[in-house]
Amino acid sequence: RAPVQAQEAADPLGAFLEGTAVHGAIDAGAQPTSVDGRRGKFAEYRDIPDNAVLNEVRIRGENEARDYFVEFRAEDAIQDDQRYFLRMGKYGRYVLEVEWDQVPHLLSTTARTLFSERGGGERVLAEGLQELLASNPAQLPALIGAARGVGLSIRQDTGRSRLRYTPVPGWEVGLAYAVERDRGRRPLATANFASLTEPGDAPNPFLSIVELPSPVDFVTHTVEFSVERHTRDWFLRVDQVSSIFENQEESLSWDNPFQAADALGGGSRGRLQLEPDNRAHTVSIAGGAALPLRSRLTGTFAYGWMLQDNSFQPATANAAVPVAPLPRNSPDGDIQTLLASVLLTSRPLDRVTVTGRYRFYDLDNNTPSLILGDYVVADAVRGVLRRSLPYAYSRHTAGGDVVLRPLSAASLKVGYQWERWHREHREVRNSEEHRVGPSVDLTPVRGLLLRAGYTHSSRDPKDYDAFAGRQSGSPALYNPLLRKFDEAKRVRDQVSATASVTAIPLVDVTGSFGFATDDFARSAFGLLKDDSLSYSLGVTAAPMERLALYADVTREDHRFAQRVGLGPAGKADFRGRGHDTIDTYSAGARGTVIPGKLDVDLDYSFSFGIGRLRAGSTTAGVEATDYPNVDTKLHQLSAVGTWKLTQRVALRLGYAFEHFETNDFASEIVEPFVASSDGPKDSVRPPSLYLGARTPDGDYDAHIGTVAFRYQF
Amino acid sequence: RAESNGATYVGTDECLTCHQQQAEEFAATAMGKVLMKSPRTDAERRGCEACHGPGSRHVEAVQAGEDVAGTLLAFRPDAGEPAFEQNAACLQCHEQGGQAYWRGSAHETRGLACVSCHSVMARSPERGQLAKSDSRTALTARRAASEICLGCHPNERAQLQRPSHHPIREGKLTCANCHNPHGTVTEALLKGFSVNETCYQCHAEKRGPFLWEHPPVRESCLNCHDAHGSINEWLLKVKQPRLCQLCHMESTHAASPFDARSRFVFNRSCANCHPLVHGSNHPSGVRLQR
Repeated sequence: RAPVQAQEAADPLGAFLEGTAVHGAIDAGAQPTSVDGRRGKFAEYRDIPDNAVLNEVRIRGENEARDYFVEFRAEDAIQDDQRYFLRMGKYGRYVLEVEWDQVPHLLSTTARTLFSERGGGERVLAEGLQELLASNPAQLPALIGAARGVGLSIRQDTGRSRLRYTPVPGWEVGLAYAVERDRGRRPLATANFASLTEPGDAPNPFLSIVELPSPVDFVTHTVEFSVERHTRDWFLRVDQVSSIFENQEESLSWDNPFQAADALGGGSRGRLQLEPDNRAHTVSIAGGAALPLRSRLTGTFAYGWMLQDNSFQPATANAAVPVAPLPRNSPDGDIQTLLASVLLTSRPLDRVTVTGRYRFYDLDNNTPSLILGDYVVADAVRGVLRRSLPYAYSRHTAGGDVVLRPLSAASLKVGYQWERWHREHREVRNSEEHRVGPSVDLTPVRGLLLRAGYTHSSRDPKDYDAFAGRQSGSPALYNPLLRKFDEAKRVRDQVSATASVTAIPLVDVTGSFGFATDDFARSAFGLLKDDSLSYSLGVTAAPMERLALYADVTREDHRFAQRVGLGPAGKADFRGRGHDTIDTYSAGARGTVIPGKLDVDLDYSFSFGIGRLRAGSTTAGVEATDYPNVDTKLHQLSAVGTWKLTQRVALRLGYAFEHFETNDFASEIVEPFVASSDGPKDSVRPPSLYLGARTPDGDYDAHIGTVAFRYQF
Repeated sequence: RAESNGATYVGTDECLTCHQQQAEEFAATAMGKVLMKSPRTDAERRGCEACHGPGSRHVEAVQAGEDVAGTLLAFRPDAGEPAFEQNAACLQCHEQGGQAYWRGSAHETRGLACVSCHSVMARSPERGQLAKSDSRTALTARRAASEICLGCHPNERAQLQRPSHHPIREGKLTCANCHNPHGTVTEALLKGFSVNETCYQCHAEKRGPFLWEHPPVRESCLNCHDAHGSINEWLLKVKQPRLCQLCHMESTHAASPFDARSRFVFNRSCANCHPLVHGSNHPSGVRLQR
């Protein structure tokens, strides 16, 4: 051993390389690509260049004598979505991983804007344009032709490293660091007021919407440390995680196109605060121990902090609105979380398993409650006094289940869970929920598996105070009969069933069914009913040794009913219904045409979703109409043939087709300039200025060819 | 099983008499390197018998030409061994770290075996010795860490095909980014200590705390979002403005049905004027406009 150590010390790289076997593969080629239509959705999270591509590189080095290994993997190299991964270590001692990953997120390719960008999140109009539009917004449609295209996309670059070290058996130390950077632009719409006076008119303040390309420049650092001691009978682990989020852009400010000078009722500029820097730290300790009767007790205790103390922006960018000094310069945001969890499992008999669990999660918000007397609405007018509220909650969950296996082919589980929520500054201070239900797994004959489960739960808020949690304003503005769905009394029933059959050797058929219904029986307003239904059927078959087939179909159906209105004294009162249906089909085949030479893969999938929103009202003067249906279609077809030219070289020829189609009324009518339908007919008032960014971006047909070689060594 | 039938340990060399090929394949795995070559503990020094159990009864049955079924843990699908017996072999060494909450977890109580998802006897190119490998086409990148889960969760597979989705079918995320299939202290096997703490892993900008908070947002991102996919933009469970109108009817403009061409409906709908729905830190941000 001594000579080996001496050699390692003198020439560590040489020592490692000596006796190291290297294997790997390189996959590269050309990828002729044609996209007809809008590219935004096609390239949403991926980069598919019409070019030469280096699809994959895998290299693995292994030193048998010294138990070392090194793995390197590159995917989609020199592309926007490239990923590199290095893993090395010594078996049983340590593993070091280093990764670089890029994720593009293309939001829209159709955005256009009259604004130009300056540093510090400033968006400004060309000299004189603000005055021109403010005096005569009717010119906007003619001017919009000068709008420039602007890309709306974000790219997330992440670097990660992780070390896991086992100094001696039974001890493990972990250390990880990750840095993530998100950069790009996203659409952000803002509310603005302006006071437009036409000849003969009285001043007429109006609300206009100005949509902007908002900067995204986030950096997030994450550091993790853990140490663990474990034996066969017990373990103890301590974890620490810190996450530091930094936004390089503090604010977004812009020229108000329809107000050239600051005035009470409309500011020449608007400004909002982008996501503030924040920090989070969590320390946790977990442990477990074996107990008699084949039992085990496991517990976790964690304490966390979420902190944010960014300086406030001024209350308004409008110099004409007088405001008093703020009560503080920063929020001193401070949330502390506490988790305590205990799990006891036992198998007193071979055919009986008992589990009991208790969990407590507390989110304690210590952020000071501030009274802001000079709240300014959309940089235009002073609002009434407002008070910020530190929302907080705690949640107790306790329950258990018993699993009986009376026969080796049957398993019955009965579970019960109790949950109690306590909330601060919300409508329901305390609520309890009881959930109970059985499930059964049967294998009556070899090749047939049946699973079924049912749960019934009932949530009961003790009291519902519709006026709690309001920051100001008259109680008359609140609908006393509204019951918010996340707090309201709810009865939930869920049924699920699965049958899996191996009908004949090498043919599997699996069908599943699920139904869940939420009934908000005591809610006069708000969500009244919410139902989800799904069923699927999947078949896999291998009729021949050289052929495997699969096919799946899934139907998902979601319905809800709501009632909206201002309550007994109000004017508005209508009912809405939603019904989404999504069908997904897929099928494919894997075959060996010439053994050892030619393999063929075929895959096809089709997803079709349709969303319906209906509305109706029996209240006089309330006109509630249905919205046009929203639908999307996605076809994906891929055919690949792989020809093994030699023992080491394979040629892959492929063709892929993707078709995306969407109809969404909410996006289709949006152009950079829209005269709102809320204004008088044929009027440009109130005008708004949008990006004209369709999301989803639009329809396309994409054809992708593949000619690639894979070389293995 | 093997210990309870009075079997004793015979040593790996005895196993190699008949199972040389399997042993060679196993030796190429990370676990094989430790157990077969560089064992550090008494359990690891048992080699094959560390997982399969003591082999004396098995050897005796072979030598006598008897049926070997039940003489040790075979881990074969047709062996008829309960999952908990198979899993107990793995948990001898792995009931710690990310697997600490396996017992009592949803997958454990429904009878899943470790070998349902992990390959032990042959080297897998993927981390964690997963039973599937990454595969790619020109359109999709199927990660083993997702494909294994989706084999039993067809609804989630279908939801990933929806237009608004996380980049899972593109291979940039896997199910394991949010879920720990071995069990956690949180519902739905989520890795974070709450739904939101799971989401903040990637969406730290929404963590706050903010001066003006949106209470249901603070409690659970899933009040408004469907993380597996949606036909509504931004993974919303219900299209705006109806989503917001489930809770907001404080004024005529919030409670009105609106025509589809209204600026309260098209483009970003309610977010046309209230873009900062996750919270605002601006002194005038009470309406989540600044």
